[in-house]
Amino acid sequence: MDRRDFLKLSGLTASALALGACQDYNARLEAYAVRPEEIVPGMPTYFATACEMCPAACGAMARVLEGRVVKLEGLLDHPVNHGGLCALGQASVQLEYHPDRFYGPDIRTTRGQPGTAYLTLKRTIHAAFAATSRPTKLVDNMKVGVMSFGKPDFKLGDREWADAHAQTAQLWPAAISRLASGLASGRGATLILVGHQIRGHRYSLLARLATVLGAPAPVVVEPFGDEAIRVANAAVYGRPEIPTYDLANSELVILFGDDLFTSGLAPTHYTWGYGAMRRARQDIRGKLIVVGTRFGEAAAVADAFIAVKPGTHGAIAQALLPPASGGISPAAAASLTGSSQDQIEELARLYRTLKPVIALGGTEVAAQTNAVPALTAIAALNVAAGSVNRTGGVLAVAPPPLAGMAPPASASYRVLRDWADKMAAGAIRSLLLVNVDPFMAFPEAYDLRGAMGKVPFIASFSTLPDDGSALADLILPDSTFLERWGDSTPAVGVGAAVGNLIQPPVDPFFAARPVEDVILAAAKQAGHDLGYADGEAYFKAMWAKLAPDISAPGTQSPWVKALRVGGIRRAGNGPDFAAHLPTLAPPEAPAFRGDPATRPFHLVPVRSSRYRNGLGTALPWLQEWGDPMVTGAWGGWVELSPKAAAKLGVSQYDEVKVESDRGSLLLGVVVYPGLPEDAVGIPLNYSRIHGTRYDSAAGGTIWEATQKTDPGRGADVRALIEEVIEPRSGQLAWGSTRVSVTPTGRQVPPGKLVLVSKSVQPQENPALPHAIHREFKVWPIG
Amino acid sequence: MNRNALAVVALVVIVLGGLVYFMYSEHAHETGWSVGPAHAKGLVQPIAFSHRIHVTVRGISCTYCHQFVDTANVAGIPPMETCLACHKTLDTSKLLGDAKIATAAEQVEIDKFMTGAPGVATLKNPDHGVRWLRVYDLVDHVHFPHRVHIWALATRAGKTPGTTCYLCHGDVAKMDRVGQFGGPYTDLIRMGTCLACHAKYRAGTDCVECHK
Repeated sequence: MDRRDFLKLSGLTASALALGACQDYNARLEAYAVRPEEIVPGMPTYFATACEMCPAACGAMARVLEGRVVKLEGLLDHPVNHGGLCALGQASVQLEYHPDRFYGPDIRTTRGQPGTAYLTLKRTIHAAFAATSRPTKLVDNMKVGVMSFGKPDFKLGDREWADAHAQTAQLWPAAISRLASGLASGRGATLILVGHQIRGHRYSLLARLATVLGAPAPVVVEPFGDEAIRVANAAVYGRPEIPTYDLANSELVILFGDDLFTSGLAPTHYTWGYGAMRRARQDIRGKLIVVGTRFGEAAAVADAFIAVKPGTHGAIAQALLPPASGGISPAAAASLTGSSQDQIEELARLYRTLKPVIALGGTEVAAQTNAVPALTAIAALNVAAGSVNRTGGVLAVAPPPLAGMAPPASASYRVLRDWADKMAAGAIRSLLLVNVDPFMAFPEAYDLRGAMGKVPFIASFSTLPDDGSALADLILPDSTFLERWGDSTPAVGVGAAVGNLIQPPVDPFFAARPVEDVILAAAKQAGHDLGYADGEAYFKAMWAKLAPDISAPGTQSPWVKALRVGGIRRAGNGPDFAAHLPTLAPPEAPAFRGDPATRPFHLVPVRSSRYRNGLGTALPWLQEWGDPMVTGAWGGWVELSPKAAAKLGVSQYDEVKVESDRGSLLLGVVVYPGLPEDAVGIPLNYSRIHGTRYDSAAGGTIWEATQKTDPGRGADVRALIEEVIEPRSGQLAWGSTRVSVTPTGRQVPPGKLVLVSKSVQPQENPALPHAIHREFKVWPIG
Repeated sequence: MNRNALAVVALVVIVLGGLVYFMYSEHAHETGWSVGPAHAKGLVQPIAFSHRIHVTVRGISCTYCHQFVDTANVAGIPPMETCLACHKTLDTSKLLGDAKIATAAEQVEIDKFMTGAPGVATLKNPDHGVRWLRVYDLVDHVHFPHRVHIWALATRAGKTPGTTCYLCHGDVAKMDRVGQFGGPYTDLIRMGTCLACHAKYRAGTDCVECHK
C-alpha cells in the first residue's frame, strides 16, 4: 500500500466512524402511567416463596426490583435449607430471562419444526424488543427492557407489543383447543409424564385429569432416581421413604457413595446438617467418613476417605455388622473392596464407640446391580447401632400439612421402560410431557425417540426447549415458578412437616401460562369440567382446606401469613419406624457389562453440584462455574487417574475416544487423581441434542465435534451407558458399564475443554494424590 | 489536486473525524468523554416538558415529582398520574388568555399529553407512560444511592434536603431542556467529580464506597 492509499483509507475510516456516531445513544426511561403502590423505584420488594429447581423444596426469598426478579436467596428458618440456597437455586433467575424460553404456544404441523404462527409471534416480540429503546440491562444476550407490570401478557400499549399481545391472544385459545382435541382422542390411552416441578397440588390436579380421562396416574420421571434406596429402606425401616438423617446431632456419619452435597434429594439440607454437626456444638465435632469409588465433594471435607472398587460399598457395611446379621470379617471386606484391613478395623472401632451414628448410602451405591442388598446393609448399620428413632440418628418423615401435597413417588426405570414399550407398540394415543424431558432418564441404548414417534399426539409443557419438546406436536410453555402459584413438600425427611406455598413474585415475562390454567381450560373443552376457573383459584381452594385457619380475614389471616412466610411449617417427625435388623446374605458381587479385556475401565458417571441430574445445564452461570473437584466448565470431559493417563500416554487436554459396547464419545482428558486406575469419570447429563444454546450440541459446546463424528448418537454419557436394570428395585444400574479409552493423537480444539484451574494436575499439586485414593495420611483419626 | 493538498485534506478529515467520534459517539458517552447532545444543549424529549416553567414559574418543588429522592436509591420519574393531578383539573386551554398559564407553543406540548401522541400516554389510554430520554446514566459498576447523598449533605454540610439537587444536576430550575450543563462541582459527572465532593465532606474514598 502506498502513502496515498493509506491516507484515503484513513480518511474513509474516520468518516465512517464519525457517521457511526450519528445515532441516538440515549437510554430511555419509561414512566408509569399509574405507579403500582408496592413499588418504590430502586428499592426491592421481597416475596417468600419456594425454589422448584430440584425436588428438595427449599424455601426461597425472591428479591424483586420494579417488577423484575433479580435475586433468589434461601429463606431463613426454613426446615429444609435454613437460609442457604444451592447454586442451582441461585441460577434460577436465569431461567426467568432465558433467551431460549418458548415465547408462547406453538401448534406444530411438522414435529420438530416451529409452526408459522409461533414464528410470527417470535418475530413480533423481537421487533417489540428492538423498538423498546436501548435495553437498560443485559442478562446474557437477553434484552430486559420490557415488563408488563401487573398486567397479564403484553399490554404495554406500544404498537409492537400490542401486536404481540394480539397474536398471543389468538394463539392460546387455538393451542388449548388443540390440547382438548388431543385429550379427547387419547382418553384412556393418555400417558402423562411429569417432572420434579409437578408436585403437591399440581400433581393432584393432573391426577384428577387422568382419572376423568380414564388414564393411568401421572408417572413421575426422575433421571437416575432413588428407587433402590426406597426399596432397601422399606425392608429395614418398614416404610419406603428417605428418612430424616439428623446429621446435626450425630457424632459420626458414614457416607457410602460421595454425594451428600451434590446429588441427594436435599443437598442444602444435608449441607446445613453437616455444618451443624461440625461446628454447632460446644464440645463435640462430629466426624464424617466417606466410603466411595470417586473422591468427590463430600470426601474433600471428610475426615477420611476409604476407597473401594466400584460396587463393593456394601461389603464395608457388612464388615461393621455382627456375624449373626450377616457380618463379614474386615479381612474379607478388604479383599472384596481393595481397601486396607487397617482402615476397615479403624472404621469399625469408631462405629462401635461413637454414638449416635448415621450410615447413609447414596446414588453411587444405587447405580450398581447389587444396589438393594448393599443399601440394605447400609441401612442395617443404623438399626444395629441403635440409631433409628433417635435424636442424632434416623427419624421418620413427618406427613405434609395437607394430604394432597404428599410428594409423589418417582417411577423406576423398569416402569418407565414398560411405558415406553407401550408407546412403541402403539398403545399410547396421547402423551403429555409436563415439565419433563424423558430422554434424561433413558440411556441412548433404548430407542425412546422411535417409541415416541409412534404416539399420534404429543404435547410438551416445557419452559425451555429440550429433546422431549423437540418431538412434540404442541408446545404449551409453562410459567416458571417465579410467575405462578404452586406448593411443594420435600422429598426426604427434614425434621418438620413442610408445606411450601409458591406465589408469583413477578408477571410472566413471555406469553407462558401455568400448566393448571391450560389443563383446566382444555379439560373443560374436552367435556371434563374440573371445577376451577384457573390455577390461582385452584390453589386458593386447596389451601382453604386448612380452614378454619386460613379463611380468617384481615392482614393477619393465616393465608396472608402463609404468603408472608412462604407456607406452613410444623416441627416434628412422623410416627416411629418399626425397624428390624435383617439377616444379610454374603455380599453380592456387582455385575458389569463389557469384556474386561477389551473394555478395561469402569465407567463412573459423575454427578456434581453444578448440574446434578442435568437440571441446570441450560443455565449459563452453572455451565460457567467450574466443577468443584476438577474445575471443568462448559460441557463434559473424561477423568483419568494419573497412572491410567500415563499408561495411555495422554495428558490434560488430549482428546480420547471413550467407547462402550453401546456407543462412543470424543472427550478431552482431565487427569484426576481421585479415581482408581481402572475407572474413568464422566459428568452426567450435561448435554442435549435439542436443548438451549447453552446445553445442546447445536449450541456450540464441546460436543459439536462429537456430533459431527457421531451424528445422531447424542453427546452425553448416556450414549455410553448400558441398559442394565437392578433386578429388585427396577432402577437403572447406570454404573455397570465398562469402557475402553483410545487416544486420538489430537488435543481437544481450543476452548472446547475449559478448566478454570489447572491445579488438579498432579505434577502441579503433589500433595493431592497422596491425600486421596488408597493413601490414608490422615489415618487413624479421632 | 496535488499530493500535498490531498495529504492535508486527508489529515484534516482524520483529525476532525476522530474529534467528532470522541465527542459524540456512544463509546465516548459511556467513557465520559462525550460533549454530545446530552450535554451541549439538552435533550429533545417526547414532550417539551420545561423544568423552568414548573419549578421557577409555578413554584413546584423538585420532590413533588421526584418523590423518592430522599428515600430510595433513585429519584424516580413521576408517573402520569402525578401530571394529571394538576392537568386534569386545570384546563390550560381556557386559561390561555388572561391567566397566561400556557403559551400557544406550550399548549401544543400539553395537548400531546392530554389528547395523545405516539409513545405518550393520554387520559383515554393510560396504559403506558412517556418514554423519556435518559439524561443521567451512570455506568453499571457504580452505585449511587440518592437518599444517602441527600441525608449525608444534610447532616455533614447542613444542607436542607430537597435543595441540594443543583450540586450535581446544575440549576435545573432554569432549564427548559435538561442536559448535563453542570453545577458547582460538575461540568460532567466523572469519577473525579465524585471524589472531589467526597474529599470535601470527608466521605469515604475507598473504591468500594462507590464501585460495586
